[in-house]
Amino acid sequence: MINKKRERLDVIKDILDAVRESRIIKPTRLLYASNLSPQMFKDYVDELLKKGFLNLKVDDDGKKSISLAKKGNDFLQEYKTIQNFIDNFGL
Amino acid sequence: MLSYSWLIENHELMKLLFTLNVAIISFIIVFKTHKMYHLSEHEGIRYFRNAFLCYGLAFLLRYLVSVQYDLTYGHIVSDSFFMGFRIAFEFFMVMASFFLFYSLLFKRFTTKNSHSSLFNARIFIFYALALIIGILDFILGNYSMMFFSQIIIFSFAGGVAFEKYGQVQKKSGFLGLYLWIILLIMITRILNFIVSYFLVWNKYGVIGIYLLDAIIFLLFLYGIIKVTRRS
Repeated sequence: MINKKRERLDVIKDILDAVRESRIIKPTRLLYASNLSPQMFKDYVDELLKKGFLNLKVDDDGKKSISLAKKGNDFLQEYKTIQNFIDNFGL
Repeated sequence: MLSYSWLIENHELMKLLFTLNVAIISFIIVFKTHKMYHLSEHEGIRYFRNAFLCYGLAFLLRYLVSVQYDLTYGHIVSDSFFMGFRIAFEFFMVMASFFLFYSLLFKRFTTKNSHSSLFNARIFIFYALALIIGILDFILGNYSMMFFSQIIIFSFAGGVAFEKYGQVQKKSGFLGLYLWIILLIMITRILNFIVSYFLVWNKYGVIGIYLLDAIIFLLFLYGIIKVTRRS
């Protein structure tokens, strides 16, 4: 079976889904879960943090953890509708 | 029940109602797709919304100028006002067609999201073409360039939509109806051209076209409601 290249929205959904499942996740674990190259992962996560889909917390030891923000949760709830719209209007 | 003869007797009022109806539907579509775009920032949704924003502005402009024209018993404020209205109306109508067409096609040209869907090099080409079409029609004193350009744009859009429809596996979605809507727009513009150019704005023909336009936009609204309804 040929794997179709994931669209941008699918990648975002997979990242947010992985964060939601773990509630709080370390960047390294999220990288494995997202199935992206380190550079692409960095680009996506930076964008999602900047746009308020994810929250980044750095503890006193400098360890980073990522959690889902409200906007990220809204995206996951609307994802099916958005995908349905894109498919049905040929966008 | 409304009969066609009643529509003809009240055709000026009907024209106003249809125009307002189309403007309102267009703005509802822009409003209903706001959250989806805000969350996804999908370029196709962005161009699709731009199309309906332009349709809304075009029909609202036409409605307001028609109301002013009727309220002042056919008085035109000034020649420059009339020229501005006509060019702006045609500009928004043609831009709406370009945006709708480009929403189907943008993936072939872009690999990365552009910063703005209103201010980028490709869209500036469309702006220039829409402006030229508006000015040419004003000089020629008719709407033939606008109709002709839309017939061409929607012929291509129909081709692209047909190709996309052929590629989808699940044929039960809205895409099939969307293809028919695009073809209906093209047919309506052909009729528009015939009525304006050969039938000198025959009122039966004009009302028929207004009806078709209202049906087209209602179908769009139906599609948006159907597709965005939460499962």
